[in-house]
Amino acid sequence: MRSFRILTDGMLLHLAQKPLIVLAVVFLLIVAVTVVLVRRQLRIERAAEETPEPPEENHAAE
Amino acid sequence: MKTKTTQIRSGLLYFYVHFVTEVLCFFLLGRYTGDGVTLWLIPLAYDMLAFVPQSLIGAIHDRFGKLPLGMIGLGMMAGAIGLFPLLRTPWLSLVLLCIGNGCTHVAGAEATLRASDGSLSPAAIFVSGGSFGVITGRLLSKTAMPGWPLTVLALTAVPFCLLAREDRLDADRRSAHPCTAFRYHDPKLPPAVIVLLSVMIVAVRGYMGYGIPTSWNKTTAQTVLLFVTMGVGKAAGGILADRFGVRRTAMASAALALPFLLCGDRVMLVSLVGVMLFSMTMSITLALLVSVLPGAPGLAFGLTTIGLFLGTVPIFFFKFTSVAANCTVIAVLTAVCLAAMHFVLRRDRPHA
Repeated sequence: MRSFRILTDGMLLHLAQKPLIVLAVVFLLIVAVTVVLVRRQLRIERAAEETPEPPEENHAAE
Repeated sequence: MKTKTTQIRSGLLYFYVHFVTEVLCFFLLGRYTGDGVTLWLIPLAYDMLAFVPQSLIGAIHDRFGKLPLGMIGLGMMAGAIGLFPLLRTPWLSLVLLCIGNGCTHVAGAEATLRASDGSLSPAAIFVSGGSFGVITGRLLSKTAMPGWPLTVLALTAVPFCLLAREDRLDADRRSAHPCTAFRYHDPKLPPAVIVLLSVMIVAVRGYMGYGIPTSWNKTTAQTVLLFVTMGVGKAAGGILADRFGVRRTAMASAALALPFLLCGDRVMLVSLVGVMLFSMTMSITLALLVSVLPGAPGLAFGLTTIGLFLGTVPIFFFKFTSVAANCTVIAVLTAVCLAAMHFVLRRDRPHA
């Protein structure tokens, strides 16, 4: 006996085809832009970690 | 250093805004009508359009912090409810509702994360407000209540948004990168791997949230109790993580939740303990992503919502009919989550 049930029959998928395609395209576009943004942000974070912090002013020596 | 009360304040303020957001969304979702295809598509489109664009909205808000995003979101959702009876198709109001939802979520995440000095409680309290809102919105949608009182409800959240926005702006004035206090990831791992594993954990947990066996849940009161327990669990996760450590809380809650969830199919109390423990990791995965992307907390929050969407997509297409198969999947997914969290979470306590 199959332990799972497919909730979407062929007719439903056929009727919902156009909006599903639109949603899939929008999803893929947003994910692609997000991946670019995350990679860019990770590069920024790495550069910030590698840059040595400026030495604090030694007021005691003044 | 800010006082604990100031840190928690933004969480409490956005707890209410989040509550109102979900009331508005689930009220309107319950009012949409149409043929079988439309009624199947609307929840899927809602999940997609409300969850996925939050990464882009977050990236915009990271860059333009002074944007009153919370109020823009409330306005859009109130507009969606106002427009709904005037339009012939539900799609325009649905898009407005979803983008408005995304705006208030991102504004809440930014305000609570930036004003928290690295603690999880504010974000966890903000996140927990949603569970209370979902069930309230669902119950209200079943009544004959018209939509306009909810636009008034949206207005009541405006002062909360304004106050929380001040907290965020104040945090930005004090430090250029207020989220650098979040250090919960293992620094030896490549950040990209941590991002991928964290999104996977969120997706798996998102899927499991719908698969939890709860055949005891038959009455409205029991459903209310289930959602209240989820909300309390989400808030408790952040508070306990601040008290006992993020790694300890994440691993213990995920491992302890499993037996309660599997044995609680017919016993409400056992199941509720499992649901509460299960909900605790919600804020921890957010903190993990913010640790890797401290300069972009809005983008990090958006990654968790993409993960949630990926986890919810399968439930629109198939479901397990056998309890044994369902329990096996839950056990395997919990093991995967535990292994991933063991791998990515830092061992030492950052506040020690």
